[in-house]
Amino acid sequence: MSSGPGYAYSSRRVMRALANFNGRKLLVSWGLMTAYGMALLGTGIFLAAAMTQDDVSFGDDGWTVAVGFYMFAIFTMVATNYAALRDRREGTSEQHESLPADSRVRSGGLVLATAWPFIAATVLLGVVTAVTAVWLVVPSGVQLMAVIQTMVFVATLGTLGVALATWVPNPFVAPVVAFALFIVQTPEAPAGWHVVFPLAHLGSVYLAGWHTIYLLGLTLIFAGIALVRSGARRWAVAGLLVGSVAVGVSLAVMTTQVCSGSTCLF
Amino acid sequence: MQDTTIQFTGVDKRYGQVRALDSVGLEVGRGITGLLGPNGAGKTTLIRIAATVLAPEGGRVSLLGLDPAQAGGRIEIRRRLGYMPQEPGFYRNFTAFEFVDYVAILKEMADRRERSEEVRRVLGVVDLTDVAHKKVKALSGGMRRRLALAQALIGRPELLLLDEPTAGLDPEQRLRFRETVSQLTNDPIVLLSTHQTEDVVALCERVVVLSAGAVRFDGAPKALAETASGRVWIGVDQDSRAALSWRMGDGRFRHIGDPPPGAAPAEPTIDDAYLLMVGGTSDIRQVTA
Amino acid sequence: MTWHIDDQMLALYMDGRMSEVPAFSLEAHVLACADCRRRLTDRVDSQRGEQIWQGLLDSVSQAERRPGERLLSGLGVPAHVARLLVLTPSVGLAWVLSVMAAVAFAVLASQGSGGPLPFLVLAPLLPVLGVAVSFGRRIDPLYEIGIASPLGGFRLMLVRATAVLTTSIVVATVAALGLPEVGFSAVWLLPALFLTVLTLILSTVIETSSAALFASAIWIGGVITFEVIASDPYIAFGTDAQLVFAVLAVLLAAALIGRRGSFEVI
Repeated sequence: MSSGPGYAYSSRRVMRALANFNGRKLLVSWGLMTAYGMALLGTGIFLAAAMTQDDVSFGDDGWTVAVGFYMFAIFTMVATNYAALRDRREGTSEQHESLPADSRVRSGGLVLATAWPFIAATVLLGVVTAVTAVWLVVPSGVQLMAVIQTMVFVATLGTLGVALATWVPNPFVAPVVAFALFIVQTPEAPAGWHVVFPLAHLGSVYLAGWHTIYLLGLTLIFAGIALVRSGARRWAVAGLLVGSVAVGVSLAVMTTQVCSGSTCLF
Repeated sequence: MQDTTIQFTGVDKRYGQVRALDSVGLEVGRGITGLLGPNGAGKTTLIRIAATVLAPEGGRVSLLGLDPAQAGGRIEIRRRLGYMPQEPGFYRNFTAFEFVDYVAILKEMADRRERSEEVRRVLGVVDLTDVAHKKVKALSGGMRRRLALAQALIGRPELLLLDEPTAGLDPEQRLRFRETVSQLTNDPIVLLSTHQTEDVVALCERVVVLSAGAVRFDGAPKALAETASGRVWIGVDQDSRAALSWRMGDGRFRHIGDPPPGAAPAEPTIDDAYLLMVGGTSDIRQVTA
Repeated sequence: MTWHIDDQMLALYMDGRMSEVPAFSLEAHVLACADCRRRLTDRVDSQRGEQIWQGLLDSVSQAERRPGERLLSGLGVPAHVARLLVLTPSVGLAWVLSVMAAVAFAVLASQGSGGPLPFLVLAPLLPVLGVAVSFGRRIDPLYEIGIASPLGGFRLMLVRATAVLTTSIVVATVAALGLPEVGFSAVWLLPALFLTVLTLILSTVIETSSAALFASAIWIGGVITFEVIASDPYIAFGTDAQLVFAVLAVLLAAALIGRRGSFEVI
């Protein structure tokens, strides 16, 4: 009767379908449109600067390509948060309770949907990197690690957006966090705190790699936080544990490398 | 043989001090059953319990032979259930197609092609094919009601719960709704809660009258009308001897209850029987229409 | 029962001239003796009784006044206006908290070497964002009802705009105390007023949120332009600029009053 072909009793397939649906919706949402604009603007300025001056790099000295994608990540967060608040905003929470896909599947679908903006950022960054590598001359060369770090940051903020929606379901939260991320980028923090900032430039590929692991850890932690309330206990706990380990270890490595003497944290 | 009934036995539900359902016992099988009752009678509570979105407090509930109190049973019920709430919500910025598509995914239709077919099918059933690519916020109230019905019909559910589905619809729209519901091909259990006695007369093989959380009547619509036989009169004056009395369009008065002097007996309708049955609980004395 | 009330006692009691102890014994007797009770009842002034009862019902059934209302009433604001002000959507807790958080971040960012610019750019935008969040057909569920009410669309708008401005100014003023250079504490007021009036008058031609977006864009764009052209973004806060803002604010306010008819229709 109602159990014909096409019905997936595997919640994983449903989660994937949900993630794809949400992801496609995300890519054309207002938040992502603004993100594309920001990335384009930042990249345009970067390319223009690369052609006229020589103090550009992929790292943090001078204008970087990361600035445009930093904003991309911030607007991705606003977009994923908005999408995650949809049921609450539209008053569909109760009627969706009567459907077989439970909150585990729905939350999983939201978290996994972050992969789509992540892929979009990767593609765009890839294009910029390729163009720069082939046609322009950047003094310090293409720093792949910096590019990867930026890509991961998009995923980090994407999952943060979903996590915020599940714990503080208020539409004002994401814009305030976005504003904070935008405005508190001070590079003047002591070296010890510098490593915590998302797009910190740390001087070497080795450190940049550990910083990327730090960002991956944060992504897992945020994903875990987003899932913890939905009943997907095992996945949430796994994400939180692995993420915490990654964050802890990478922070330890980075601070010991970066700090010398007693002026580390203050 | 698969159990094709829903059973409520001694079900209670309280909201604070208010007793929404008071030891309700009911068994509903295939076909269309109407749930009639005044506002606050507990109809929506009953339907929400049947839709597994609300847990009952006392008594036992069995839906299609499964127990909604257990997680496994609950999910299985939800796979075979279609629910159209009293105030449906939508994703207003999605198109009609996208919204129904999304609900279809939540009904575990992971395969894209089959899902599209099913979405097109239900949109066709409710006659929304022409506006499938319009955003929900651009649809009129009647279209949105049909959209809510469409999302309930995905997957050909065995149990269809409709809470005041014709509220706010004009007579023509109500007629089309009745046609749609009466033409469902898989002969599901349909529980339809409504105020409109015409819907009951036109659609339902069986009617349950719920008032103040308790079942007052359970049987065929004709039998409901007959409970008022000998209690309905038409006279020239208004009189307080009747329990209920109002002025009809032609200037005469219709009375329900004890006969005022000089009044002639009239053929009882479901409306009369319903008012007689629940009139006391709402404390209606004299009504002038 | 050997003792009953005589007429003299009754007259004394009804006039309120009976002292406490005899009054207690009279009342205790009346509870037990039906005759005397009837005699007492016949003498009761039913109109006065009705008045007392109605007064009791009124004060019991009146909704509880919130602390903000009591404060405003204390300041001399009429009771119904005070209620309206306190219940304005944008003055809700979530909004105030978000504004406080955003301002806190801006103050934090202003502690660095960049100066108080982040705070100064944000402060005038607060009332604009407040207007965006609480006005307009899309946001306000009582929009049409408000227009049809005797208070009318224009006066309602003024009441709400006052609420929004007041909250924003109070929060920003308090936060400005955290700025290193106290001299900057009031230069954002006139731009705030100007931008608010601009948003309101634009809302008569375009959708409120678009008007707010436009006003914000003008402001941010203006500050950036000053930074790029004159490499001094603080020009927007200098004495010349303050004068310009003041004049513009007055002109726009006059125009707003001129256009007040458009607030009375949808």
